[in-house]
This record gives sequence, C-alpha cells and structure tokens, in this order.
Amino acid sequence: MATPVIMPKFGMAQEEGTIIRWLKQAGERVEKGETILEVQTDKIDMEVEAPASGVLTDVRYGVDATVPVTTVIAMIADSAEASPPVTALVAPAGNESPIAPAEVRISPVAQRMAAAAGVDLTQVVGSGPSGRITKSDVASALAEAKEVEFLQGARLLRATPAARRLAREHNMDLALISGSGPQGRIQAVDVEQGARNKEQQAASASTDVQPAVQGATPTGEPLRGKRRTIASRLSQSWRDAPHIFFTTSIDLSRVDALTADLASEVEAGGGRLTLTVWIARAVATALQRHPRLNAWLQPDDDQLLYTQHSDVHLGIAVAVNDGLLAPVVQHADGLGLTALAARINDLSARARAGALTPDEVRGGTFTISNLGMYPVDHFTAIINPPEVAILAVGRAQMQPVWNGVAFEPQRRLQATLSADHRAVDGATAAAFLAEFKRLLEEPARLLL
Amino acid sequence: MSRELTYAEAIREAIDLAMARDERVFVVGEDVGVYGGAFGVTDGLFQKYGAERVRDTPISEAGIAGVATGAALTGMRPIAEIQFMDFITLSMEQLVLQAAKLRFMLGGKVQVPLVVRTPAGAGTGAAAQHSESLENWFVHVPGLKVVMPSTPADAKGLLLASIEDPNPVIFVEHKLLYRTKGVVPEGDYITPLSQSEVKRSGRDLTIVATSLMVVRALEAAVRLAEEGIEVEVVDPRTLKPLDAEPIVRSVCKTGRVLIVHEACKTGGFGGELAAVIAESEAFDYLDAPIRRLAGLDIPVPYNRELERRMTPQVDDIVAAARRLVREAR
Repeated sequence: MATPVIMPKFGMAQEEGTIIRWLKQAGERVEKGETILEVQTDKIDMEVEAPASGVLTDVRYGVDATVPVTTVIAMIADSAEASPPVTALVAPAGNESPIAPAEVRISPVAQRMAAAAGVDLTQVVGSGPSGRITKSDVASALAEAKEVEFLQGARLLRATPAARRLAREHNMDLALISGSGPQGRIQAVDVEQGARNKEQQAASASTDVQPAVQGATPTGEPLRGKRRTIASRLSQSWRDAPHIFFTTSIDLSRVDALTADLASEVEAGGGRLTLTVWIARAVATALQRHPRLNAWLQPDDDQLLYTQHSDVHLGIAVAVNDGLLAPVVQHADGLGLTALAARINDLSARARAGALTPDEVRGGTFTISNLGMYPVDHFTAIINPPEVAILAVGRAQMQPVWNGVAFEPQRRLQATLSADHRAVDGATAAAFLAEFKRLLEEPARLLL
Repeated sequence: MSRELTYAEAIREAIDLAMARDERVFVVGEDVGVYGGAFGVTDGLFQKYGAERVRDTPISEAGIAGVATGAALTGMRPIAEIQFMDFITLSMEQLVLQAAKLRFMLGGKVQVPLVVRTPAGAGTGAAAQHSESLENWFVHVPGLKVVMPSTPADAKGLLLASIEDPNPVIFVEHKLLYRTKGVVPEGDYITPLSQSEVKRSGRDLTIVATSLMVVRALEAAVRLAEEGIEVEVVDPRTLKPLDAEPIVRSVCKTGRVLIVHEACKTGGFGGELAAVIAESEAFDYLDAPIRRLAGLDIPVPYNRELERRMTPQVDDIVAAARRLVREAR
C-alpha cells in the first residue's frame, strides 16, 4: 500500500501551491506527521506533513514547481515495496534537423490545401509520380497532425498498463519514452530500456569533469518561494505606484499616561497594550474618517479599478526569520483596545511560529509597519499592493521640545505615510495623517 | 497405482464408484441403459446395476431434467445425461428456474444434489444442432455450478466431487475428448471444484483455455517452445464458481494473456475471464491487450472444412500466441 502526498489546500481560495523545498528526499524514511516539504501559497509558507509512515517515493515535482491543489506530488510506500529513489528525468532526445528536400513537386490542389491548413510541406512525403505531393498526401498529413494533437492535447499515450506501472515505479515520464509496440505503443521493455539509459547517463554524468569557472559566471542562489514573491511584489509596487511620503512627529505623553492606567486591564484580555495597539486603533479610526486611503487599486486590462472599503482590515507587518509577513486584523475598526491587543498578540505570535493560514494574510486594506524596536528614527515603506497606503512607524524617544518658555522632555515618535499618488492626493494624505496624529496626542478620543 | 484410461472410461469409473458406494446415486437419460450411451460412457452400468438405477427415458430433455430435480429434492443423487448439450435448451426451465433456485427460495430447507452430464462441442460433423458449446448460459445463472474437465483424471475426480456436491452441477464434457487417454489414479478420489490448475508453466504468455482447448493449447505450447516462446497454460476446470487466483497470478507473471474457448466469442466465457483479469491486480502487469480466441459467431457448419475453421485449432492458437508475444516484445 502506498499513500499519496497531495498539494494541500490551506485557504478557501487557494488553487495552487509552489514547492519551496523538500525536507525529505525520495527513498528516505518518513514518519507520519513529520514535515516532508514546504509549500508556498500566495503569501505564506506552509509545512506539509507526511500523511503516513513509510518511504518517500515517486517524488513527482521538484523545487519551484507550481501544482494545483490536491494533485498527487509524491507517494509514501510501505518500506517493503519502496522503489529505489530516482532523481532526474530523462531528457528528451534532441530533434535532428530534417534533411532539406532537393526539389519538392507539389500538385496545385495539394499546395492550396497545405497553405490553407498550414501544413509544412517539407515534412510530407509525396506518393505521386516522381514523389509529387498530392491532395491525399496532404490530407493524411493533416489527419496525422490532428491525431498527434489529439494525443498530446488529451495527454493520452499508448502504453500498456505494465509500462505505466513501471514508469511510476521508476519515476519516469512516459511522454519521453518511445514505444516499440504496434502503433508506437509503449511496453514494459521500452520503460525498462529507458530506466537503464537513465542509470547510465547518471553514472557517466557523475564522472564528468566540472568545467573550469569562467570569469563572468554569476554565482549565488536564486530567490525561492516566499522571498521570490516578496521580491516581485515589491518591485511591482515600486515600479507601478508613484509613492508620495508624509512624515509627522507625535507626542506620546498622553498615550503613555493612559497606557499606565489601562495596561493591566488590557492584559487581562490576553494582549499587551503596546504602542502598536494604540497606533492600530488610531489608524483604524482615522481611516473611517478618511476612507479614501482604505482602498485597493487594481489593474484590470488597461484600466485601473479603485475600490473603497467600508471596513478596515489592518495588516500588521511582522518581521519573521526569513522575511516579512503582514497578518490582517479583520474589522479592526470594530475592535476596542483590549480586543485589538489580543488579536495582534495572537497574530504576531503565530506569524513568528509560521502557523498562519493563507486566509489570515490576505484581504488587508491598509498596512502598518512598525520598526520601533530598532534605533530607526523614521523610515519609508513600500505600499503593499493592491492597497493604496502604508504607515511606517519609527522608534519612540525622549526629545527636548520648546513649550514657549523652556525645553521640556517629551517622548515622541515619527510616522511616515506612503500613499499611491494615482489614488490619493497629497491633501487627502495630509488630512489623514493629521487626524492620526491628533488621535494619538489626544487618545481619550480613541476610547469614545 | 495408476494407469491410462480414456476420458469416457474415467467418467464411467467415477459413476461406477459412486453407484457402488451410495445407492442413492442413479443414472437417467436417453440410451444410457442397454445401449450404453450415445458415446458409450455408461457402457456396462445397466448390466451391473439394473434398469432401476440406470434408467432409459424417451426423447424428453425437459422430463429428464424434471425427474432429476424432483429426485434430488427427495434425497436421491441423480446423474442425468443430456445426450447433446444443444438439447439442454429443452431442460432450461427445470434447471434454471427450479433446480438452481429451490434451495434459496425454500430458505435452505432443501438441497438439489443433481449432476447433469452433457457432451458439448463441434468436430464430429454433426451440424448446428448437435455441436454447440452452451456452458456460458449456465455460468450466468446463480445457483448452478459449471464444470468443464479437460483430462481423464480431472473428469473422474471432478465428477466424483460434483456428485457429492449438494448443489446442481452442469458437467460439460467434450465429444472429441471422450477417446483421449491419460493417466488416471485408481480408486475413489476427488478433484475439488473451483480449483483452477496450471497445466504447463511458462514465462512469456498465459493461455487460459477450457475443455478441448486445453488439449489444443498444450499442443500449441510444445510447438511454441520450439520457437522459444514459453507458454503457461491454465485450465479453470470449474467455470463457476471460478478460482481466479491462479489465472491472475499467471498473468502477473507473463504480462500477456490469450483466452481460448470453443464456444462463440460473443457472450462467451472469455469475456468474463477478460473482465476478471482486467479488474484484478494483474491489470498493472498487462503488457499487451487481453486477447480472445474463440468460436466464430455462427451456427456450427455441417461442412467439415467450415466446421474446422469455425473452432480454434492448434495452428490458430500458435498463430495468436505468436502474434501476442511478438507484438509485446
């Protein structure tokens, strides 16, 4: 008995997944529940566990392969029946260039037919006098082409059940094997021959001398999985969205005072009343008053579609080991400080543990990126498409502030809004930022 | 001790043994008594056991089957003979509606321990009404067992098993096998029903054959071996209930299977065998299509040459086997 390993469906809308890496190789022993590969969906990396104990065999897709959900990607065989691990597939034999015909005689009707149907006459053998290509030759070439197309299109191959079984066992692609049976049917002997060839190729490849390193040979490793997605999304955003930036400085005195009063009560709800929670609360409220920034801008053919959202789904950027995640607090505008703190606490903990589901990282309408834990006074962030704005928050620090009489110490932070100028005008962005600043400086308003 | 007997002698010996040890066993049929049977199978039994236990009947196949069914219900062990399998058509109601079903319909309170012996097959120039092979009609009826021996030793052992079996058994003999000889063990023994047998081992091709076709397949196998083609011949012996396992195992080994029977191809037992193989784990070992070699879909011709062409001959089996192996190499 062999158990199939399928591309799992983690999210409701997920249709495919990309293999990031195999943690187990074909032929290795795996235990049920053990992680055997990592898979990436739109935004998130997930681990796939072995559905059964046994030996991993028949690994059908390699790293970077994107596979529809529920597709069988490998098998786990009982140890007894495990087939030997096979790695590379046989490369298709290179096509030999056809010999150019000296002079091709073609009947006029055949010529017209071929032109109409796009038949390559150099590939047609003439059966008429002196090898003249006739109407019936073109017709049979057409029929053959259709047959080939049908077979390829339907992924149908003439192969005996035994040949198919052997191909599975040897992890070989039947499409790359030529059949010796009637009408090119692939038979067991053909697959066995193919498997032997592959072994020989593998043996000779391993003895080949590595070519000397050329001066300009690029080195390094290609970006994979989540990293590659981050790269392409950020370039797209930076390339397509004209970013405009607005920075403001905010007095945290009253937030700090209120935090001291409320911290223990919020903690009873399961979260911590951090600055991030205050900022999220202020952003959600400010967005309700300036919904122009709570929106998506999406390309649709040669148009841009702007969608304003009535609910605020707030992405909170979290640095994780090998990248960045922005779990989304759904309906953040409806959450009070306690609920918001609990939700952010939960999402960021699970983000760091790699335990988010794809549905928890999509659907955001605005993102907050907080680098306050680093000695970064302020920074700018790249908008997370299809959103139209993002807020970058620097660290809070004591600063001397002139109060008209003297300098007084104040804890302040700087926040920078990046907005997509295609959707958001400067004045709109500035009004939003002013609202945000006022809410944090008079945080009692956030309790209303 | 064993010695050579003909197929007909082996069957007679089985009937004799059963009659001698069990007085419930009796023979009933046309010309089975004084005449000794149309093919001489019951020769001498009338003289040994008398008219009470070896009963001649009028030409009345429905009556023979009815008498046998009724006798079996009352606890007797009838061995009915239908002189030519073609005329079993007249016995169908008694066999199919009564004998096959009474045990089930009466909740197991009765048994129908009945054997119908009947010669099938062409090759005697007896034309369309005395040459048919109708075994698959009965294979299709739940409640009946169908046995088709190919050798004298199997004929004896399987007939003794059929007589002992508490269910109705259609025991299909072959006219051309009656005179074939083979080693037959002496005394009382049973060849269990529902046990297929590998008659010859080989690695290249499985031939599943029934009755006379087993003999022809074995002959073909000898000739094919000279060409380097090693044929495995499997004889189901009991068509129903079929012991599929040796057949499936053989096909898994060889990857190719030729099914040979004399009955017409369409609706014949070969279709059932092909399906059983295709549904089994042997599917994944098939390296060529399952092929059937069977009688043509025509009434058996009177003309001897046409009759010969209508049924699979050794040459036909050799050619079909060769094609199947060559195309799969």
